[in-house]
Amino acid sequence: MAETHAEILIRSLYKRCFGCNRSGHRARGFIVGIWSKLMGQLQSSPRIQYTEVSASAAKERLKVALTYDRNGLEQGTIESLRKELVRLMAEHLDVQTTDIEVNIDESTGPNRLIASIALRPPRRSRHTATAATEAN
Amino acid sequence: MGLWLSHGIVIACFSKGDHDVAGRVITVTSGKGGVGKTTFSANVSAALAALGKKTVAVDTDVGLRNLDIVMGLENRIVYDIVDVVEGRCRVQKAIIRDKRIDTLHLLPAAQTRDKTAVTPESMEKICAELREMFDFTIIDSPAGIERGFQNAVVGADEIVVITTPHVSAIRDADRVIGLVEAADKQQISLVVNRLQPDMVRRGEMLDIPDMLEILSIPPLGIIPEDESIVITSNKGELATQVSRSLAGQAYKNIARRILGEEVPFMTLESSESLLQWLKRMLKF
Repeated sequence: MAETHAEILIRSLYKRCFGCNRSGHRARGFIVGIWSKLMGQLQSSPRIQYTEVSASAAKERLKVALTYDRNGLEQGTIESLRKELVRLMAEHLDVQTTDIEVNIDESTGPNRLIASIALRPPRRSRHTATAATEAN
Repeated sequence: MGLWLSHGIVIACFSKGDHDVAGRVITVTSGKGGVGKTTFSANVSAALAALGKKTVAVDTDVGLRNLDIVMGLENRIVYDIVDVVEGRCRVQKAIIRDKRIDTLHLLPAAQTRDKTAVTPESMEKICAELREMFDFTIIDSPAGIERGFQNAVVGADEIVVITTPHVSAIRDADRVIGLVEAADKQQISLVVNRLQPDMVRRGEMLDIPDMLEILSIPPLGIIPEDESIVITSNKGELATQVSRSLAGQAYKNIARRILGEEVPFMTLESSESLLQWLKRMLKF
């Protein structure tokens, strides 16, 4: 890398002031130091807008974890219960196995474990489909 | 206004009407280790003592004592709390008087024993004695929720739960609050330690209203992250006795709130404006 004008100027100043020729590395290091400091200042100073990033994630995760803690339950237990429910429901009912929620409701009275299971939307094409197979 | 004052909570009131009759026993606890119980105990004790209240700080962390070294009294220990429990000396003899603030005292823990050397019954007895002798007994509890924690909490009139804005500390604080409530302690308040206002503003750190909502106990104080805590404890000094320590000021405010004064929470701006800087410079 070629020396910049500023580096040459600093080197000549050094030579004049101290009567010795300091290495170009030092001069370059000096300039780079100042430059990076300046850039650092510029980068850290702009006001960052208040955007909820990790704090809101912390809040949500804590709320869930504490609900389980307070009720003496393990999140893993509820997760395996959810899987069991999916299996059991699918045996007897036409349910959407991907849409089953098991939550603890703390809003009223004693806490309740609430399972919400989505049923499959009724198929409109069912009759026409059976009619078509019968025709064959 | 401050960062979170805009959220609606302005002043905490932590008063107890009859505190001139007998001393008050306040236990500082957290569940998680390293959140600042010992620093809080040392500094709030010093601040209360500096306000003229006869105060004793009690270290119940038997086996891992630290309150003595934080307060700079480590080379004055002769007897400790286990000596008192086991009847080798009276409690008065084990208590060390601080030479810098003559109303400040320390009852040190034993270093070569473990938590089982102290029983909740013996601790209750010691608390009753200290209540007669001192305006304030500040008990520094060990980390955890086992025997040491039970010892620290059993004789207390009031509990201060201390946390930091980290998920781990908050979760442990919640656990401790549950245990303290189960032990039928009525007066519980929250101190948030090591808050970094700049991170809160960027949304990368939980804010005070969030923590109050999650833990649902009233706030007693907020202490900003401050390197003066490390510097003062390096030297065995107390941040409250050093001028211009932001955390020290926060501890002093907490002491005044404990005495029933209504002290607004600090406005924790991360960087002061040029105008503020000029004002501050002209003042000194």
